[in-house]
Amino acid sequence: MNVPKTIVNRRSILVAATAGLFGWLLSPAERAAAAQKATLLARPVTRVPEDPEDSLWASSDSLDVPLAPQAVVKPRTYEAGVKALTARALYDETKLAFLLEWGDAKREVSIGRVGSFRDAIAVEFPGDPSKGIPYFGMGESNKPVTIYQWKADWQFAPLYDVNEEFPNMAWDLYPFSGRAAGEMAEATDYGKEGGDRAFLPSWWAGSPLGNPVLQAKTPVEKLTAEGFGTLTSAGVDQQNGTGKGVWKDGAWRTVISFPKSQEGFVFERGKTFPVAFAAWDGARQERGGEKAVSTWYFLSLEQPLGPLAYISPVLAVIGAAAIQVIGLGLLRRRARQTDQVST
Amino acid sequence: MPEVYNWQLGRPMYYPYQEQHPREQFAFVFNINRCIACQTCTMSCKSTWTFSKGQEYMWWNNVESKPYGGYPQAWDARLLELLDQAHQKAGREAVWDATRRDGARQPYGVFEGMTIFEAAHGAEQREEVALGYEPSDEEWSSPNIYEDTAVGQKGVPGVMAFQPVQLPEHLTWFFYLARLCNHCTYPACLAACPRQAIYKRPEDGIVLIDQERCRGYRKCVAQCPYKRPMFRTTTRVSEKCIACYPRIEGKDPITGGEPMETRCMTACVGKIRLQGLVKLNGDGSWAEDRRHPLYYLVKVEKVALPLYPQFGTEPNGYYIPPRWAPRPYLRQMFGPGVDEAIEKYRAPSRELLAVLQLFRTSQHIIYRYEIIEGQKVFETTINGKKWEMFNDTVVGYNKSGKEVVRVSVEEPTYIRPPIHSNSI
Repeated sequence: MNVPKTIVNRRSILVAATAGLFGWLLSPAERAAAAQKATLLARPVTRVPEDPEDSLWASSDSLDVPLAPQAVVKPRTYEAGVKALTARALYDETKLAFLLEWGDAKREVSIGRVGSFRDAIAVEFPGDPSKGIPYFGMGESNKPVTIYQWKADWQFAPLYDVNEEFPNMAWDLYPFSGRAAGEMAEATDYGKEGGDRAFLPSWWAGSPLGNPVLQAKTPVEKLTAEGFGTLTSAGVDQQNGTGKGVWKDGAWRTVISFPKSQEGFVFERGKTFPVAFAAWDGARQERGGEKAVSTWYFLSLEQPLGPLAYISPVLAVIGAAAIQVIGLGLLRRRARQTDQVST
Repeated sequence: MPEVYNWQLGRPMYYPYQEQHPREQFAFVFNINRCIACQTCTMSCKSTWTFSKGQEYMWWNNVESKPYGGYPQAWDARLLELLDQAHQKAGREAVWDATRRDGARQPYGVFEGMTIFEAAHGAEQREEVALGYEPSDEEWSSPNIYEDTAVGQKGVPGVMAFQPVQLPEHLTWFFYLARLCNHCTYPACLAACPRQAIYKRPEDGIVLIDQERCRGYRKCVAQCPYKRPMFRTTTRVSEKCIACYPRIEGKDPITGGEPMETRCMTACVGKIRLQGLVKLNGDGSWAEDRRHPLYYLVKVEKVALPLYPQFGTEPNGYYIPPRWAPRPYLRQMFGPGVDEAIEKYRAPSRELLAVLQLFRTSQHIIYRYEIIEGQKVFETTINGKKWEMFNDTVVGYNKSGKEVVRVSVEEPTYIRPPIHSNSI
């Protein structure tokens, strides 16, 4: 059959449109990748994996996030250790979990020395999205941000201190630790019977940083901030983040998970939320404001696939096919009419 | 850029916060000439505040042998070197114009160099509030390293100078420098903290680290020029000298509610220490208080000088410089007031000699003194001038005006009768 060129072109357009429709329905992750990638799609799962090596993560959407050194406020950093990270997210009925991967040649997990600093990673989101998007750098007044920070020392070495770092150290007695003369004391002893937490004043004052009992439960600290210098821990009773990091071959893979239900809002399905990230390279003595940060990216919680999700592609395919058939029929009729006129 | 007035420098200077002053200021005078480095102060502090896990290396009070000793090691030499580099880079000199002395606002002249705050602007990689560095664990250990190590012959390493010991400067010399937090008027630790976890109390100017707000960033450790905030590995936050504030507040039952000197002050065996609270005017200058012993020593007699005033924090620890050490070294450490201070100390006035007797005589903080004149007991020549000594009596009063000490220049003596001469 001698089909004119115009018809071939029109036919190919229709085929491409149909193929595109299939693509949109079947691969949301690829659809997101095709657009400018600023949105991470969180997929629903039965139970979010707490392990960074869980196979569920392999099928999740990923977002590459470039990081830049924090140079807005003092102490400013003009070169940070972590240049980029890859983020993934999954959620279940109650929890939202991120898998964050970043390169870090040296694993720093203990603070036993005055000059030791930990590796760490953090996820940030607006504390109350109804108030609009706050400044990504620690939020702003009346527009708080919530931060979940995973700390390598909390996971791997919460009780690592002077006697582990300097095993030949000498001591005679730690009064108010509950330990006898000649017995080594650990921070936890001061919270036990016979000990007195007043001698670990940070713990006594309520700071999670000085609380070895909390650190044994979770390596993730929940914090809020309303601008630079205002970072405040959510308090020991409000700590609801969990996490786990694995360092292998010069890279950290760390899961941070927390309840979808936050103080001011809920991470609801079908909605999009701003998220930002920060990373600290302990080997470079990064801490506090000396860190690598990202600007806001977006996290979209994918709708789970209900019955409609299965029927609608079929209907769409039928519809598309019908359009194609009708369209081709019309084209053929026109072509036939053209042939008759010309003959 | 906020500016504050630093009277020790005789000029305004850059500081990241607006000028604001407490009603009273914790301050102290140490007479270096009397220190014997017994470390009783050091141990009294240790046994009160820093005996717990993670505080092993902490000595909120320490006594180091100068010029080689230091806790942490070479803390002052290292910062002076950093400052020197900053001055060279800026094409400036860290010099004083001592000719421009002008009353209480410029008692030592004008410092024309850069403070640690002013020098920090030239930093390259991590821009900080103040110039500083973080000592290593090794530098924090061996707190009494180079104890009693003297300076030898100039230019001849390892050889002492055996010439006869003679004032004004000994050829072989060292001295003891007792140190604690200076509870500075413009604390660098406070300025360095990115999260305002450090504060200066409005009632007494004591500088404290909020143990709940501190997140262990160690910026205070790096930027306090005197290296008094210290990081604790068990709590992962920093701690520092708290000036025994419960005692300052009169919470210790011994003084019955009256302000009381700190542990390190009251433990001083060598009687080198006098600590108190001085009243401040709204602009931070010391309120006229003629019979306050600290006001007299610092402001009237100017015999006690701030430690490294050029750092720019306006420290509230003052030292009567050692009269035998080389003047250039002392001028570097205490500023241009050294020569005058030593002159006054070598041939003390009648009032100065009486006030010096108040050192370490009461656990009460002395707010006022009175002198009852006594008879002349001694006469000699100092620097070619006649000098007379009178057995005056000085009386010290606490905050409530109650007499807490009465002591005379000549100590009362008692001659034991021969029958007991060998008794212990």
